[in-house]
Amino acid sequence: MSSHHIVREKQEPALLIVNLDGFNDEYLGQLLEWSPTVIVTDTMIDEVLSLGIKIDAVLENKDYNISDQQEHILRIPYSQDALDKGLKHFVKEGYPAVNVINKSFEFKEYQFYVDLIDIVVFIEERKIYPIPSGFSKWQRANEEIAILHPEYIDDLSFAGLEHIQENIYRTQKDGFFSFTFSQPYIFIAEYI
Amino acid sequence: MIAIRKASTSDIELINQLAHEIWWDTYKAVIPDEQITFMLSKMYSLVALEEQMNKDITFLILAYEGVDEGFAAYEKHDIDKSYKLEKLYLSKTQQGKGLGRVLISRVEENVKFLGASFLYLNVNRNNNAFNFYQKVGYEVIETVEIPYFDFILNDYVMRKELK
Repeated sequence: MSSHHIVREKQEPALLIVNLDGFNDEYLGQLLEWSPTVIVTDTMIDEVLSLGIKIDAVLENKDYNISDQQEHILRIPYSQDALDKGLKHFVKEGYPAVNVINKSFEFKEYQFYVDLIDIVVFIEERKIYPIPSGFSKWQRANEEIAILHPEYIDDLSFAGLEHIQENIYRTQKDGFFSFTFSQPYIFIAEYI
Repeated sequence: MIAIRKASTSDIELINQLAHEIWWDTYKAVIPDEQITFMLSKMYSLVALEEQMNKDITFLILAYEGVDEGFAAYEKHDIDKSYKLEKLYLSKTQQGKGLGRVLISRVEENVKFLGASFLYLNVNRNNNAFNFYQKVGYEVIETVEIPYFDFILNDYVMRKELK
């Protein structure tokens, strides 16, 4: 086997680039550090290629023709929802985890996949991920934590945090914060 | 007062007892006695129930006036955003009071939160529960004969779109 061949054991989280607008280059570099499997949407392919990123597959809308120069790239057709198709692809291929870069977050887009694959969504300065009730994590003082979909959550309680406004919380001191609630999981955001 | 809770492995004996009581009332006029005995031992033994809980089937228990009277179970069905209702049973004496409706509504709410667009179920074509499922919005999408060891399960496959 060629020594140039990169053997991917699917241990590293795959990377799904849905929308790269406004995303920090340094964070992008970190997500690419371990040569993950990279899938991008058709609308992002030119931008991603121009950054010199190696792409494994492109999510291609039947109505949108990507340049013929990229013939060697695997094409995964989708009809309406590229993100959904991408998540489904990684689940079917047996990936344990995926990082998603996007411009917005909708709870509905991820709900079905939470127990099938570990998901972290990166949107500009925010890192969004699902947590089970009772989850706790160490964080520095004065860091903001947001709950993404407060309207779906019952019996919410929290510790190590101060409730700032609506769905925004702030750590009071260096130490652990935690949430408990009655849903099977919720999505929270922290700032990177 | 109706309370619904998620079952844990400590509820296995309870579910086993409820099933043994309710199954005879439900299926005595529908399938042969030996099939009831066989299916109870296959699907509702303590070991079988524990296996089901370990492979991601979620069980709910319904209590009415402080007494556990029924249970439901559901799991992910396929990647196209559907879940399946595997079980829904209520004590004979508690049927007709709207408890079944409350229990299935809870299942629907839970799987909706988990991203389901459809909830599927199988029901024996001669089971009175068929009428109940129709009433609460399920439609027949297929009529099936499923070989099950020495028996044939004469079922409807039903589903409801969750909006």
